[in-house]
Amino acid sequence: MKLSKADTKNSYKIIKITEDNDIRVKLFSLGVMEGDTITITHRAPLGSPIALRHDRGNFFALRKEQAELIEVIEVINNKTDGNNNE
Amino acid sequence: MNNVLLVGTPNCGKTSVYNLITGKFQKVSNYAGVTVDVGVAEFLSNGHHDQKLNLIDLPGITTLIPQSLDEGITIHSLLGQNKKFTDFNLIIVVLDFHRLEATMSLLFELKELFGKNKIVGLINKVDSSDYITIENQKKLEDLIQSPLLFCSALKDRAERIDHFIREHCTNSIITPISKFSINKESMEFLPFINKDEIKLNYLTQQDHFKRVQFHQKLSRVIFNKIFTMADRFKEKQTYKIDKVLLHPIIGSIIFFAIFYIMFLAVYAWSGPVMDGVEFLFSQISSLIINNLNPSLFRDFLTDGLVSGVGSVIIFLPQILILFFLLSILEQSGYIARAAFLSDKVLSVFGLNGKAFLPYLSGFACAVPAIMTTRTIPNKKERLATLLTIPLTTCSARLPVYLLLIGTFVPEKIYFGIFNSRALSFFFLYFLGSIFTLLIAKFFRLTLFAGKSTSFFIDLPYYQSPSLKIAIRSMIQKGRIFLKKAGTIILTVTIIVWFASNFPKPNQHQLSNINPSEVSKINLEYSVIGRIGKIIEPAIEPIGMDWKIGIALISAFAAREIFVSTLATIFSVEETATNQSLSKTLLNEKNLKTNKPLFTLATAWSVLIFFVFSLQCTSTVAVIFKETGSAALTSMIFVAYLVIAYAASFFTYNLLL
Repeated sequence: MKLSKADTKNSYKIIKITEDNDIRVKLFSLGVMEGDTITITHRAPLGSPIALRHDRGNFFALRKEQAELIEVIEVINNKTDGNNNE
Repeated sequence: MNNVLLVGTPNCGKTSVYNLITGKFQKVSNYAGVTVDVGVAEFLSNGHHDQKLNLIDLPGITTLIPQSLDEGITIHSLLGQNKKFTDFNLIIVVLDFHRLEATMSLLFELKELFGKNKIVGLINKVDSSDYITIENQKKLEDLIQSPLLFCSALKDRAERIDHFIREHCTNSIITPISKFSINKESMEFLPFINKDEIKLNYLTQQDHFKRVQFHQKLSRVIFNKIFTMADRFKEKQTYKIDKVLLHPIIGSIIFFAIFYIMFLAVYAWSGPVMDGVEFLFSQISSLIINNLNPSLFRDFLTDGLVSGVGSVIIFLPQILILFFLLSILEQSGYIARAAFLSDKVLSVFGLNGKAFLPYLSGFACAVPAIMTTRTIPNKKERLATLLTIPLTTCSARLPVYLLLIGTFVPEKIYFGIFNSRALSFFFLYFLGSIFTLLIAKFFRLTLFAGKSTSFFIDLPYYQSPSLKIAIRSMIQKGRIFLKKAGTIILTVTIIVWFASNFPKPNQHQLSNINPSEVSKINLEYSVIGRIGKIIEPAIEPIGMDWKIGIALISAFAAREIFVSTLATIFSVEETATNQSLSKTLLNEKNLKTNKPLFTLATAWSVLIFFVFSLQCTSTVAVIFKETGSAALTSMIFVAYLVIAYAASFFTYNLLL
């Protein structure tokens, strides 16, 4: 599914980052790669942008349009690590 | 002189290291993209060492693939094509300890280009809460195969970092050992590259990214060998704070509360200090009057210098409070959250999220703000942002707003918490911001139409702000303000004083006129009076008389001059020099109608004029420099003037 359609608070695994160079390089800069797990922590008022927590310890935000370029799959078992239970 | 380069990802703390080692005070903030130009300065310690070193601060890059003009500057410098320095002897890669995994990959990319011997790593932001064993430090050094120093540029002593740099800096010059990889798309951000001097290796963008990803994977493998993600105190703390501050409702309320409190602080809290400064100036005036014989020179000192320049300097406390609070906010990491909460609004107006920082710095001063638009990759978006920055409420408008609101808006408290003057103040800022966005949108639909590019915002970990930095930033801004008062404001004040005193009418004609009328006639006879009469028809429709008009025109040199000019003209005209400018403005009558010169409608008309008009020579100059177009620069100047006039006309007639 597309990240833009994902639910707040759930964790998702990144399957594919589409070829938008700008967003690719930005994700590189935080070390976000395909296969990593991210959680949607917040949606700003009016639904965009979306704040995310990367399981390698980064926080960042994207607009809805950019979130559409990221393909994710829901992580059913929350077995990543201690990060998700606050 | 040997050169040492500071390279690193945005917001890893390069400028903090630079300030520590060179004793300079460049702007630092917990936000990416603050540094957009190269800073070169000598080491503070050069006096004690034979080896003389220069430290060079470069804009942040995430990879060696440039994505905007500021990143291009760094790549240029690394390739030895910067005119300020052509060779260098050591590259320091500054790594953010909180983002070690992500920032390490840049170090690997640089090692591939320059070889492993000339690069050292400075792992910054290591606090006492991030305890790392000596074995782990050693282990990381072995795996990376570069000398490393774990430090905190904000908390460590300069000697430690200085020593580490000197230990590794040699006299040999660093040159690339392999070809520089580039792709066609990124060449746009390297406009000045000399292709004859540099060996380039053209890759497709996909291959290029693959190489970056290879380094990313390598750095993750290394990271996992030493650290775990389990006990990251800062990360958990940030997550908890964000639960509140990014909350769609609570977060939005806090957002407005924070900015409202800032206005309140600037407005209400500075009152007593201001009264003190004002008292000081009236004492100076009395001192001059009591000790010098009446003469033109004495008038020049009291009416021109003390009243004119002094009327601007009394706003120093507000400037200090504003920049102190702004620095606290910037250091904390909140700015990125504010950008998050307000991005939807920016996107409606066709702007990139990257426009947030330039607009925000526009509240301090448009000149550096216009330079920060270099971080916006898309040219059309950059221009739309750059040309609308003059509409954000810069600190030069502060004296004008404070004077007029303080004098003409009656102080009332609504609902127990809202102060009418703070609200008026808030309204002017709000109006400026809304029109910034509306006009940007207009540009994005017409002159600079195009698709809005992506938005990505990095939300850094919160950090407790350093009071020392906040105070230094405040003092620096205060100094700039006083310097302005001592140069351009002083110059214009002197000119205004002379122009309002000369030529003098024939004294015989004045002999049988009431002495209180003499000064008025003198003023009308002077150069200023004559110019005033000429422009009066043009400004009458917006509710101003010729004296206000003169102040308005002289303010095109710099906005604060509006205040100093009014003060000078009224001091020349009045016999009682000792009352405050506020009181003078309230008592002043329009000679023709015999009504008060300044009514609430006139005051608001002036205020609204200042919201829109581009009254700043430095801003005009920097717009010309950054756009390279005289046509565009003059167009924007005229456009804002017309809007200002129209808006003032509307306001005046509405309130009349």
